[in-house]
Amino acid sequence: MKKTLQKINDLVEKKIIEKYAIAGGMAQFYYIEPSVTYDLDLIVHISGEENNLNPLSPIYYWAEDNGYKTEGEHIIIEGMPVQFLLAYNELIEDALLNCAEITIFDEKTFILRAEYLMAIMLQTGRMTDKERLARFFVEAEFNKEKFLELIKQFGLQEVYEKSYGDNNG
Amino acid sequence: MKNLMVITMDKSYLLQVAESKVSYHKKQAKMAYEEKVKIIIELQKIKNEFLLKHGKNTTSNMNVWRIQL
Repeated sequence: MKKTLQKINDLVEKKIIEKYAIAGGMAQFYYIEPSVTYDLDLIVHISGEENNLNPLSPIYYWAEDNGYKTEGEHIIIEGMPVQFLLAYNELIEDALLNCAEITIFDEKTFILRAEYLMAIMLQTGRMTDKERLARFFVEAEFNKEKFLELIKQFGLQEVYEKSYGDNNG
Repeated sequence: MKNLMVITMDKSYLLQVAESKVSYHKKQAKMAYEEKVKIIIELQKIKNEFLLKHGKNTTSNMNVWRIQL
């Protein structure tokens, strides 16, 4: 994974990506006990002028130039399928802006904070999200005030009260 | 009719088991990320083997990572 992170950081250095953060399962497992996942999701801001029809095209050109294969929506970077996603709503955008800098495998990288991941899981609401969010309440260290502030800011209070009420943290 | 023996479990014991499970999962959550990635790869192998044994195919996005740790 070290090599994968190095290549992703290269994308920032080469100004193809302006900013990125690890999201999805691989971000969640930074805070809770791991379970199975098969890809690394990254939320990204693309540098320079945006190509509205294919905003991720600079990354795909980079992958092609560097001999990295694509499989569906993933680019296999040093053995790991990586999915690049643009910040697709205001919550994700805010999560990216407020991401945390961490060091893993001796590489500097960026990851979405626990409270944002929890709000995103609440917003997305798939079965996996519900199961993982329940685990966050039990296993993760997070700032409950910050989480409550976020769900208020992004209009998720009702779904939170309905699904979780006061039965956590 | 045979007499059925009803085994009841002490409530405090059950609570202790539940607390112990929570404590175990919290400890697992605090494990180093590098160790967690090793576990994820092992879980990928187990899941794919299980699916194969049960005649289910893995899809192209379910490959076990071939990464240097």
